[in-house]
Amino acid sequence: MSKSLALIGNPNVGKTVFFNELTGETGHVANWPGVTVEKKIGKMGNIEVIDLPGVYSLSPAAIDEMIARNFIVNEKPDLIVDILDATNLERNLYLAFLLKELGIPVIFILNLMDAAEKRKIKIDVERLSQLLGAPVIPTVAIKGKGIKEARNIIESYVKDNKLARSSVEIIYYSSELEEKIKKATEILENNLPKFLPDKRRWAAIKLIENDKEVKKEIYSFDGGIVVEEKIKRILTGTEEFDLAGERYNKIGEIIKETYKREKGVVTSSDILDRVFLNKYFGIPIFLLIMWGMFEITFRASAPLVTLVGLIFEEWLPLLTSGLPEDLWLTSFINEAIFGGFGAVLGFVPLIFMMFLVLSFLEDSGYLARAAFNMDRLMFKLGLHGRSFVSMMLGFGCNIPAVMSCRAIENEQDRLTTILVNQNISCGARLPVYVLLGGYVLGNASTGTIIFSLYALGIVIAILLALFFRKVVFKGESSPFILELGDYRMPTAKYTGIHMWERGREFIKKAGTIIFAVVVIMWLLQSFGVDPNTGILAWGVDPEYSLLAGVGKFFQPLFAPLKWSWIAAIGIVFGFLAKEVVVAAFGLILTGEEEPAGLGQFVFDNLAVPGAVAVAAMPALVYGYLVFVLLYTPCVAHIGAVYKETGSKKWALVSATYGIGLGYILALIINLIGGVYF
Amino acid sequence: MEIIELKRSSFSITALLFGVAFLIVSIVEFIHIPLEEPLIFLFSSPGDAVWESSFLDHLAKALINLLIAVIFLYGVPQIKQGTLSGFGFLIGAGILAIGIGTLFAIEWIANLIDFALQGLVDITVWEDFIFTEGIRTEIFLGIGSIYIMLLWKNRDNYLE
Repeated sequence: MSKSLALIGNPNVGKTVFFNELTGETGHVANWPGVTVEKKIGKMGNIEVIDLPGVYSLSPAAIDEMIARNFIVNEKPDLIVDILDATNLERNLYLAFLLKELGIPVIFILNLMDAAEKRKIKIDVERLSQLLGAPVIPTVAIKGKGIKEARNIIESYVKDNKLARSSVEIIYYSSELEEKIKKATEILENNLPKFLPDKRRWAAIKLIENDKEVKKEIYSFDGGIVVEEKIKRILTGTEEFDLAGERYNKIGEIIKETYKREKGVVTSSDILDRVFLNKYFGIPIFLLIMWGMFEITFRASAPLVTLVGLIFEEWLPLLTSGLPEDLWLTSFINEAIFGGFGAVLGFVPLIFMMFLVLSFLEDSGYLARAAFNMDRLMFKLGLHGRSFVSMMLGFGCNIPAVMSCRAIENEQDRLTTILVNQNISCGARLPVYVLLGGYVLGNASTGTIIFSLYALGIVIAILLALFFRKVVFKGESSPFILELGDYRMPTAKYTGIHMWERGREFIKKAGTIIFAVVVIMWLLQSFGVDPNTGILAWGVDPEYSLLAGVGKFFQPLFAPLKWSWIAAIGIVFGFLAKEVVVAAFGLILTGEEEPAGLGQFVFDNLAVPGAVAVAAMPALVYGYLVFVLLYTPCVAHIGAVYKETGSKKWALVSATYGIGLGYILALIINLIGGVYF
Repeated sequence: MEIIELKRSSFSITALLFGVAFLIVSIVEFIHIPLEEPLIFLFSSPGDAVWESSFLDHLAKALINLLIAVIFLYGVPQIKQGTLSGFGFLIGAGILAIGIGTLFAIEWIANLIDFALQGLVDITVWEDFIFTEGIRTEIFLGIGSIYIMLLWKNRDNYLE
């Protein structure tokens, strides 16, 4: 029978790296807390390995912590592997104690040993193992050190049948507390015999500690309230603190015996934080790094984008040059595949480049610092800094970013963050920015224009969060605790995996939803009402195609913005997925008799013909890009908001407010940019 | 003790020199900002060519150099006192310089490939490209990396 192993630990101790090393999976890893917000399952031989979100205790405050706690308590894993941070052993041991109380066999992994060494920390691993009554394996998971030993011990635990719960050493408290625990256990046994029979001692301790979750669980039984009353009667009121105090005393004793730290050791992280977390320079440096990120993305990917463009626009069409022009297959290959689909694929190098830079920053530990800096600003505005961590995940895709809000304890903060996250520009919007960014102020400033759009997204998200917190979701914000790990030189392996993991989603989407939408758009473009006969026919002039019909149907909505029906098509189909905006343009371009470059074609056709002065076009283009930034990210995002908020109302608000906001801002930009004069 | 103070002084002089150097680069970038271009944009009329401006590009580069200069200069008095923050500012500014250098290097290599892909054969463009752009890249990367290396090697002298 297959055994299960749960990986648990404090946030940012390397659980997911360890999970990946054990199972060969490629779970998202980053050098900041809160990356894992749901459980992930992998296999190590016939052992099922479950990676759980980071927790500090087993009394959950946020949804992700609840996931971890419920799994450990209710799903009954055969073995728990608790990952400890060697640089911060004292705090990590608190969770270790709580896990031991559960009575499930535990193995401890002492990770980040390299960082501990740098900090001149010495740990007596053997003695620690004796005192904890369980194996302790030192590792540097990110470099694969100690993984083999850990694997061997886990396997031997399963093979030698050391998983019996009776073999687990119990942690005992003072006789006074033990007496109360015994009485509470008896009360549970006599009144609620079916409630966690294998964890009765643990449940009794939790009830003594006034744990809300366990109390909620006993209320679901008849007699639950009676049990609570009976336990209350044996308590004096200080037991919750006494238990914590005794745990910390025991931890203190263990630390005294096993942990030595040289005083006055300064690491490179301490030094770098003096400048990167400086209250005056922190945010300007963050902006500089963001600017650099988009410049690098745009510049470094340019040759590859040119190359892929050449492949789809020049080389591949040579293959179909022998096919009859009026054949539907020729049209499908040239227009749908090379034109529409190829336009999206052309931006794959760009997307990968951005994810590479982003992964580098994330793995180095800098993004956690960026969140810390932004928290200072956000806290002054009465917002929760954790929101910014979720926002930064939105640079990749807004959907996991919305899901990551589970780590936010305060419900008002969580809902606010979910609703404003869509303003953070995801990777799917990047191709549109690159396609048109050079037409705002010229090619040299494309990187800066892209940066301005991302920065605008962050500013709008913060302002909206302020609005939601002050007007809609009123109430105090909870304090934000963000653990800053050491800076690390990102490894090629994990940065590569990280980039691939995010970029893969783009390719997957291209092969599924985007391809399907392109085929539908191609059909709509291929059929149309012949102006001479009034009959629906194949291969009519693109101006009279059904696709043009869709564009012309929606165009009046955008008439005040002076956008053409071609611009409207991009927006309408972009609701399905933002990549489709570029695909739609690519498809229409192939219907042109003398096609120019894609960017030039879109620029030439973005405005209603003759309605906008050429000199005002930069403003019109920028307004269009701002609308693309702000309106609904995609259909899947609406679904994610609905799932996470459990409310149709908030899903609708999320789907619509961006349209209004984007429209108003595009109008203002048009006004300032002289579009109407 | 005196030797350490002397080394701290040399660190602070280095920081001062770099700060001033970046300040000069920043001023040069500010001077090159084509201020007239927004005016041309405002007074342009229908039918004019599309506005192609390096305004933002120069402004961004000027601000970046200014930021690095300020970080260096801000660190000078703290370096003299031998504080940890002072050392952090020295290293941090160096890393930013390397970052900018890397950016220029990537831009340089990318342009090089792009020129080759486009089959550009004009030798004057290549010369200008290799000499001016290439030198700029090397200066940033070179200064940044040598500087960081020296600082890190001598950190014990500073932090003692």
